[in-house]
Amino acid sequence: MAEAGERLVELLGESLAVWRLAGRVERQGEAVVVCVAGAASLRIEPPPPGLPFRWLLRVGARQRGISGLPGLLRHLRAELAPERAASRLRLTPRPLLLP
Amino acid sequence: MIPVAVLTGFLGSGKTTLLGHLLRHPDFARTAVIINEFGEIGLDHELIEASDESFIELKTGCVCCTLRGDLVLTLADLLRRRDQGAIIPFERVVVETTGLADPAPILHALASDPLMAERTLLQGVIVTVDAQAGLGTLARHGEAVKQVAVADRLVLTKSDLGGADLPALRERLRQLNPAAPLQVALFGALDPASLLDIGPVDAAGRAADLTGWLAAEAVERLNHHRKGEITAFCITLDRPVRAVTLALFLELLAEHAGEDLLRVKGILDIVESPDRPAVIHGVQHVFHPPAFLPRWPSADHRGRIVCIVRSIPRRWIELLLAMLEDEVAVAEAARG
Repeated sequence: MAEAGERLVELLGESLAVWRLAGRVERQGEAVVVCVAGAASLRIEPPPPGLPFRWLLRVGARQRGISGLPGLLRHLRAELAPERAASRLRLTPRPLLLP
Repeated sequence: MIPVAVLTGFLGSGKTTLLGHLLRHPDFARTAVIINEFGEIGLDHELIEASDESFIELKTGCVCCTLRGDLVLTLADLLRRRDQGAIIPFERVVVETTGLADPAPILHALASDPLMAERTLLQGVIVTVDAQAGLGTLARHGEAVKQVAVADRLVLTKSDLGGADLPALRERLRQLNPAAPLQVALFGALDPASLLDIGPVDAAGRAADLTGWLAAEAVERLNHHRKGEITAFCITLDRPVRAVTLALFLELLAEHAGEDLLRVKGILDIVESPDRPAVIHGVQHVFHPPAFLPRWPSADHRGRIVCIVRSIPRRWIELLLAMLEDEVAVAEAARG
């Protein structure tokens, strides 16, 4: 569990670099906290027992259940870097190589 | 399938001279050329003398900005006229861009259009680099850096003039794109045959030299002394990944780092397809659907992903893939 938490801290730290944000990510007990200048701190916590989520994301008084890594990154980015428009994966009609 | 090559390179880097030499050679007979010039009156095409069996279509403006749709329309029109017998039955197409063009949108247009996907084969990107001015150009112009980063083949021009710091330029090119072979054009010319097969596919669209295309070893050799905003690295995977993981990984790469992925290519061991590796390829947020090979191209069955990126930490990509795989494995186990 602790190792997973460390990897999450590392991934989110690198994510800030990908989003061109200066900030820090640190563990506070079971939670992971993301702090970026000019934005509210975000807390990522284990959910209360019985809830079908992987994490609970708290932004000030708001909270939201997150079921997986794609959703976590999407919500963090929307909170921290709303001005950076996300791209959508586009697949070409044909593979690079034909069968 | 008609192969389409994109010829680009910064202003004055010798694209048109190279093209002129190529078009006079029998190997490049029956070539349709679309030249894009910046400005209202095109001049460069006046300098090109093609063989009787090749011809040139001229577009003005910047093909990567306003003319992206026009490029596809022009190609579609050429194919229609070819089908009708109104023009020579050309066997390949070369798109020469302006020196300021960003090749990525051009590649997107060619790869994404359904008609182009049905009739043409995107062969690859040839980029000319001026041996005299190349280092300075790369230091000052982001467009030139991006052109080099997406190249399948680099062609060094004007080295015959002497006086250039070739070792430094070669090193800079190797840092930006270690996967692209570097050829030298002497007095604007080089063996045309060497530019006929520059990508991973043959004329029938099937896998050709995938190991050479991936060039994972060349990229790995540079991994430990990377510097600069645009970097190339190779991620090697010792374990297979699930197909769902791959789909999520590509989606997240495109979503969070799309504009900074100059080129991603790789070969991956997929859990559900143990003997048939998947080939991935993308430019920015546009990816080809993974293609499954009939067999591994070499004895090395490790997954390898070559990334040429702008300011994307290697560790982010490694962690993203590993953590997605863990998450998918846990979900799979929970479902039983």
